Amino acid sequence: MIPVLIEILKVALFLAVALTAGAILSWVERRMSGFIQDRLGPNRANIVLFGRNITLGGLLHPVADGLKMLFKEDFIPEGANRLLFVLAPFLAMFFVLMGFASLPVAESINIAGYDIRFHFFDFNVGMLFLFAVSSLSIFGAILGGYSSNNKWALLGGVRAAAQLISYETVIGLVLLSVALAFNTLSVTEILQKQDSVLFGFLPGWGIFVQPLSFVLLFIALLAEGKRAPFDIPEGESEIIGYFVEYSGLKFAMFFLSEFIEVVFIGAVVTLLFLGGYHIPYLSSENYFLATPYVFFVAGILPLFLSYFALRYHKSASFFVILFFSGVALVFFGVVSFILPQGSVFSDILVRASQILVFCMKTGIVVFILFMIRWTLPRYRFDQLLRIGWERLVPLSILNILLTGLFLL
Amino acid sequence: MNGFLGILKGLKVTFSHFLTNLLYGKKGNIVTVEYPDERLKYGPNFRGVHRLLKREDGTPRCVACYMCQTICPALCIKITAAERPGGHPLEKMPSEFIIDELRCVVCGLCVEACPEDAIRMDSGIHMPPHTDRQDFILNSKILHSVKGYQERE
Repeated sequence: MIPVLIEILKVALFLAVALTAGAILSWVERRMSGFIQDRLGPNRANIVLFGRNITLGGLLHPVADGLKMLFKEDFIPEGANRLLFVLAPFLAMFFVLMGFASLPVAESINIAGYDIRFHFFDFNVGMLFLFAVSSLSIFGAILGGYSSNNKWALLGGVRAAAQLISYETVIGLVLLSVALAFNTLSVTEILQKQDSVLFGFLPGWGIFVQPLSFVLLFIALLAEGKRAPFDIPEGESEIIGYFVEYSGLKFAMFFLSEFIEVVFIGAVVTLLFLGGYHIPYLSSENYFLATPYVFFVAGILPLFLSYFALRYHKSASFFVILFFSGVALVFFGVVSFILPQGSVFSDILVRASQILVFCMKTGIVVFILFMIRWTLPRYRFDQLLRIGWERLVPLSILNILLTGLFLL
Repeated sequence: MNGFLGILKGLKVTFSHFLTNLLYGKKGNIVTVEYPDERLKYGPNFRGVHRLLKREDGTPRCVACYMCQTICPALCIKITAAERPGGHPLEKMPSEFIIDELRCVVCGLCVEACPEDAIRMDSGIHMPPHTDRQDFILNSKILHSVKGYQERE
């Protein structure tokens, strides 16, 4: 009974974290784009508490957006395929969330005799699962475009389909060569094999084992996640996108699923190429040595930013959030210094630090994705296909050959 | 390869902007004016809401010559003339001077046309928003009470 409860709790926790992260990322991206373009970005949504305007530096914008979309008319256009039209946003969300099922976030932990694993399924073919689910997630876009009875939406859907065909090949071939290099199809095993040292000085991460694969998969996943510069299924300035007829919460689901997919891309890249929760030169048995420092490093960033939030952005409420999260992280670091090794609590702290490391690496990848989005202009459709078929596919085939040569 | 270096260069530009603005906000490169909280000062020749001026003896400067009403391309001025009380040497004054600010195209021709310097647009403010159209139609009482930007400071 209790194992089932643990699983249900895990799912609930994961959903809460994933959806919140998606909502917060939507704000982060808008604020980031503002700073990049010398604007301030959304910072005005506020609630009045005790006679003071509390904006949290704009963090209330996702809440305001959610409320707005909740109260909008749920519109279904005339002549639309009602079943597919309603189904499409759910499919988009569902497959993106399902992708996380095979991603191990931290080592499993034993509390009071119950084994808690930090992922949902330990497939021995996790790579195939990743491949399958990431290609299914495009169905939301295709069906949404197809069923809307709108030419722009249909164009968006068709573009999504064409993009899928050209980039799915690359992802498949790259995952194949990664599987060859690590000699396994299980994501967990790939993660364990990255806990090593390469040539005596490099961490044995996938990015050093398979540098070409990293570049190829990164580009292909950009296209897969419909992120700029490959966001032609949306192309706001040309065809608005496959979700042109969607309104209210259905649109919010498309919107949110896109941001969760960004997290998914970050997590996949982290797991396959950046060593997941591993710290370079530190084998996982000695992970507890690094735990306090992980907390310190994670705590310094919010503390650092909180000073600037108060001094230059004059946002006291955001300062409080950043400052106390930083203090809490440093506090946990101190606690993990003091706690004796081997107790349940220190084990929990070690797992927490592993999750933190994983989140930080994912965060860095997501940050790079955002930076790329606000730096590069959108590719034209034929350019996109040409990059896919004439550059990336031959390169990924070459990559397999090279990998095979090295293995021999 | 050259294209790849170009991407890195572009990323460097965007990242440096992001970092300075993230840390230093308005002390960085940000040029945003958060309007209701901060306002830019308009120049002295900014054409704002009209105002009517008074003579030193407190009577209206306007002599109801209809110049402004005639030149107004938007036909937003309506003057009703009357005789000045007490045998005043100027003889005429407006008994009612109405400007429909919703029709006004803010061209400033009325100010140019006025021979008595009675009407000006140097109040330095926009027409404030109202919910009723009638509130945008200003009569001479309101127009006389609007202050110029110099008195406002």
